[in-house]
Amino acid sequence: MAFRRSPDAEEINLIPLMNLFVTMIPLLLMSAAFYHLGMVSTSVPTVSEGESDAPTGKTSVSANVRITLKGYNLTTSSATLTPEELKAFDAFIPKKDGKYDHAALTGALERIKRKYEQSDTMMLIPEKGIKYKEMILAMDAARKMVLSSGAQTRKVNLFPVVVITTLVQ
Amino acid sequence: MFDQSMGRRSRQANKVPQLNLNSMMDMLSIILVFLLANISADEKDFVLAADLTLPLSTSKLGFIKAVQVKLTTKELMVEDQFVAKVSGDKIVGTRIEGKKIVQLYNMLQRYRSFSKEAAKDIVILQADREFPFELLDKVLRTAAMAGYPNFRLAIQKE
Repeated sequence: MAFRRSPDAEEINLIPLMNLFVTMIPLLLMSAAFYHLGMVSTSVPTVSEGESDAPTGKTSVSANVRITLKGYNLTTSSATLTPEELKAFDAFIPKKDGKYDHAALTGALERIKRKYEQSDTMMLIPEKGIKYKEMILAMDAARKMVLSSGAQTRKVNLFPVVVITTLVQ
Repeated sequence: MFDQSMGRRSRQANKVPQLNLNSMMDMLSIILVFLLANISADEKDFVLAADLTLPLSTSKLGFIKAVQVKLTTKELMVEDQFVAKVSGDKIVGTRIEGKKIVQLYNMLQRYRSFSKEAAKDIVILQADREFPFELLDKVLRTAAMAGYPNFRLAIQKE
């Protein structure tokens, strides 16, 4: 008598796979990051021997952003430009509704960058009482700008090199 | 007729109900993919100090290996070694000469002489986002005096 297979389809045994998943999930839960951490690069001024590493050839401008309790105070400095030429970029950006106007700071820095594209250094000068989180937000505002050509937009570096310093009083 | 119907019911009642594992497998697969996507190898080595809230930032800069200075609402530490207490917005219990926190300076100099890290002149700073600049400034200046003028400020990505 011939053996006849049951017409029912054979079910795959999912139990071992389930066991594997159930073991992996607690393991992954322990090492999963539910909020992501990152870094912001900065430095403080130091005395160094040798020549300056400032770019030579094309004119570059350093942006000096002073964070005051009333807003941002932007001035510029350059080894090659005259004080009159630099004065055109000076700006005071007051707080809006009690908050720093980051978009206006980005706009003011963009104007410098568009004219002197070699510029990449921002001196950040926080006043007494300025909170750390405000310093970080100012650095964020100075990091990138959006360039749009037609329908395409891309982000380019604005003033990514940040030096934190203080005013000598 | 009556007997046949009773027999069928009785067989159905005796049948062990089978769990449908397909939907359970779907759920587990989704959880697994979500967890795998959230794992970051870089962040595994980074131990966030307790008693601090990092500032939010849009920075995309990744981690590097470097000596870590932690300025929490309770204490100042280098890696996990206690340096000084923090009370409010002030560092207490250690000598401060101008902007130089002497104990921090000594400890960083010791680290610098032993360190084999590639980024020898970089300090990773973890600090609470509510701290005023004056407090941070002392830590930054002291690190610079000890031979670490470059910093990576730890942030929480937005």
